[in-house]
Amino acid sequence: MNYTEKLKQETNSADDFIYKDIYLGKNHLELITIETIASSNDINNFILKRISFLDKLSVFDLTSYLYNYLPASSISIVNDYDTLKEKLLNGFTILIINNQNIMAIETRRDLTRGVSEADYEKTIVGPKDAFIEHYNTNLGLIRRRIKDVSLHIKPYYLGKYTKTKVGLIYIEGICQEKLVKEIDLKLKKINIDGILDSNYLKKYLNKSKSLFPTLKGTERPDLAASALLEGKVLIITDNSPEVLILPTFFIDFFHASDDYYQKPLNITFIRIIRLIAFLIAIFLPAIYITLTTHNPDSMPINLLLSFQSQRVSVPFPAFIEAILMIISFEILRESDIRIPSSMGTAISILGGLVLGDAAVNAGIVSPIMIIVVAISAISGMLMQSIEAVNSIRWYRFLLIILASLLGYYGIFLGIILILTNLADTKSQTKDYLYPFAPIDLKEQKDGFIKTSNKGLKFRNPILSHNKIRGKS
Amino acid sequence: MKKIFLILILFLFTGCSSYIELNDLAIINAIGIEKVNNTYKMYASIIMETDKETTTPKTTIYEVTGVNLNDMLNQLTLTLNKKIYLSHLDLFLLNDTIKTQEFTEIINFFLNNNETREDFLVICSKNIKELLEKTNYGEINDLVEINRQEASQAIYTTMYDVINKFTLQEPIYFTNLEITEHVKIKGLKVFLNNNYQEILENDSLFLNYLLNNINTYKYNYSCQDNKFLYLNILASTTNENEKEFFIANELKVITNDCNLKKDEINDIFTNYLKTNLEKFTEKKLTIKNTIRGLYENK
Repeated sequence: MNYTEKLKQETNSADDFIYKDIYLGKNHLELITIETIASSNDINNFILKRISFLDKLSVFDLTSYLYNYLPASSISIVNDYDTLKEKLLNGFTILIINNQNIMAIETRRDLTRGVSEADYEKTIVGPKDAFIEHYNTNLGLIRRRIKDVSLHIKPYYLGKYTKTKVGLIYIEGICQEKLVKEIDLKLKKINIDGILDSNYLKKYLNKSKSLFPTLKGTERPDLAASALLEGKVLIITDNSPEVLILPTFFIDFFHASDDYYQKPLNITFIRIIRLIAFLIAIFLPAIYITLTTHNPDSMPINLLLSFQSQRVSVPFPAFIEAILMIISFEILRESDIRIPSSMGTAISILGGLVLGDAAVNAGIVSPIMIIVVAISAISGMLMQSIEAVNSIRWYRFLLIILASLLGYYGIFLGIILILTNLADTKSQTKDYLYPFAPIDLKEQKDGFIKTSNKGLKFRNPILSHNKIRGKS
Repeated sequence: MKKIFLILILFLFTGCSSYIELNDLAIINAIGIEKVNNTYKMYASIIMETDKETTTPKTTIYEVTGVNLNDMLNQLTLTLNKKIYLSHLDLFLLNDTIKTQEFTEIINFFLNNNETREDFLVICSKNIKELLEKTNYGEINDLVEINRQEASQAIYTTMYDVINKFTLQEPIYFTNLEITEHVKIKGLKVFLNNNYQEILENDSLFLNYLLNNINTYKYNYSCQDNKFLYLNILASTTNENEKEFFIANELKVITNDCNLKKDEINDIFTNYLKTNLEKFTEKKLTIKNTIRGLYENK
C-alpha cells in the first residue's frame, strides 16, 4: 500500500484533504494538501504554476529540479510516513514524485490575527503590543527586542494529538544552565493528549502546593524580554497568546511592566498601594467579621454603634452575610466575563442595583458589608495576573472562616498559615519569597520600593551568575 | 493524624464560644458607684443608639443595687436582657462612700475581667446620678483634659493608676466634680489610709507642682494703677532630692503693662510660687507624709 492510500484510509478520506495527480510525460506527481490549513494561493502560484512549465521537459531529474527551483523558503525531503503526516498537518504541501521521492513544501496559511493591544496587562506608558496565538509572531516580538545570537530557543512538539510547538527561550550567559536543564527535563516528560494553551503546561512545570501562582503568564513582549534579561526562562506555546515566565517570585505579582518606564518615586508609591490593596483584598472581610463577632472592643464606640445600627435588620450572622456577598460578586464577575459585551452594561446595572440598593432595602445584607466586599474585591483586581487574583479569593475565604470561628486569633493563625505556606513554596527550586525570605537587602532596591536605576546595577543573584548588568 | 489533632486543638481550646452579636450587647460607657447602708448602688449609662445629627451616643441611665459589682451587673443583665459589655467603659464615677474595702472589690473585679480595659477615667463626685443624667462622658473627659492641660488643676486618673497606687498604698488623686447649673471641677480629692481629703481649685495647682503634673497655666499679677503682668507658664518641671524640691518654669510674657524687667518678673513669679507652696504645705499637713519629702522641706 502506498502512502496516499494509507493516508486516505487513516483519515477516512477527510473532506479537506486534497489529492491531485499530475502526469508529466513519464513522471507521475501526487500532490497532497489540507486546504483548511494550507494556502491555496501559494500552492497555485509557487508549486502548480512552476510544475506546469515543465510539461515537455521530462528528461532530467525532476526531484532535484523541484527541490532547487521551487520558490519556497522551506522545502524538505521526507523519508517516512510519520514525518509526511506531521508536515501535512502543519500546513505543508506534500509532493510524491513517481511514488518514490517525497517532498514537503511549506504553504502554511496565515490563520492568526494581527498583533494587537494587551488585553489584561494594560499600561499607560510603554509599548502596547501583545502576544498573539502564532508561535513565530510571538517569537518575532521577542527577537525584535533582544537582537543577540545568545537568545536560544529549544523547540518541543508536545501533545500526542495536537503536536503543539512549544519553545523554551533563554539567554545564554545570563540564564543559569541548571535552570534550563530542569525545565527541559520537565517539558520532555510531558505526556498529554493535547496542549491547547500555555496554561496546560503549568501543572507540569509547577509542582508547588501553594495557592499562590509560582508561574506567571504574560501577554506583553516587553515584560517577557525583561524577564529574559533578568535570567529567567520563557515558555512560548503555539496557539497561545500567553507566554510563561519561570521562575516567578511572590514580589513579581506586585510589579508591572511599566514600572521601569516611570520615575522610581512614583513607582514606589504605586507598589506600596498595590501591597496595601493586596492586604485589604485578603484581610478586610475577615477583619470586619472579627470586629463584629468577636472583638468589638477594638472599634471606636461611634463605629461600633454605626455597625450595630446597620446590622439591626439583617437576619444572618456576619459570616453568612459575607459569604453571600462574595458569592454574589463572583457570580457577577463570571457572568461579566462570559456574556457578550453588548449585554455587559445591562448586567452591570442589574448587578449594581441588586447588590447595592435592593439587597440592603430587603434587609439581606448591611450596607457596610457591601462596602467591605466591594473594597476587598476591587483591591484584589490590582494584581495583573488572573491566577494571583484567584488565589487571593482562597486566602480571603480561609481568613473569613478562621475569623468567624476564632476572631483575631483566627486571623493571626491564618497569617501564620499563609506565611509558612509561602515561605515553603519554591518556584523552580528558587525561594518564592525572595528577596524577603531569605532576605537580600540589595534586591530590596527593586522590591516594594524602587530606587534609582543606579541602584539596579546588579542582576538577581539567585537567577544569574552574570551579576552585573551591561557586562558580558 | 497529627495535623487533624493540631487543628482540633486550635479549634477546641480557643474562643469559638466568644461569638458576639452586636445587637445583643448592652454597651456601658459610664458607671457610677456608691455605697448606701452596706449595699452598693450602681448607675450604669447604657448607649442605646447614636444621635445622627450630633453623632454623640444617646444614653439611658439604669440604677441597680447589689452586694458587689458582679451582683449588680448580673441584675442589670436581667433587666436589659442583653449581654453586658464593658469594653467601651470610658468613665467611672465614685464618691466618698467608696473606701478601702470597696476599692479592693472594685479593683479585683477589673483585674479579673478580661473584657474590660483599665484606661478609663475615674472621677470623684458627690452627685454621681445627676452627673450621669445631665452630662455625658465626652463632656466630662473634655472638661478634665482641658483643665489638666490649660489650668493644671485637674488630674487625669485612670483605673490603671488607681490599681497601681492602691496596691502600693500610695495616695490616689481624683479630679473632683460638682454639678450646679453646669458641671465644674472642684479641685481634687486625695484618698489615703481609708480617708479622703479635699483640695480645692487653687491648692490643687500647687499639689500638681509637687507631683510634677504641671502642663500650662496663666498667672496674673497686678501692679499699680490697674496695670497687669500677664504670664503664660508653658512648662514646669519639678525635681526633688533628699532635702529639696527644684522647680523650673518656662515663662512667656503675654502682657507687661508694668514695664518690669526680666529679672523682676522672675522674682515676682518665684515669690508667688514659694509663698503659695509654703502656705499649701502648712495648710495640708495631714497629707504631708503622703508627698515624699514635703514635710522635711517645709
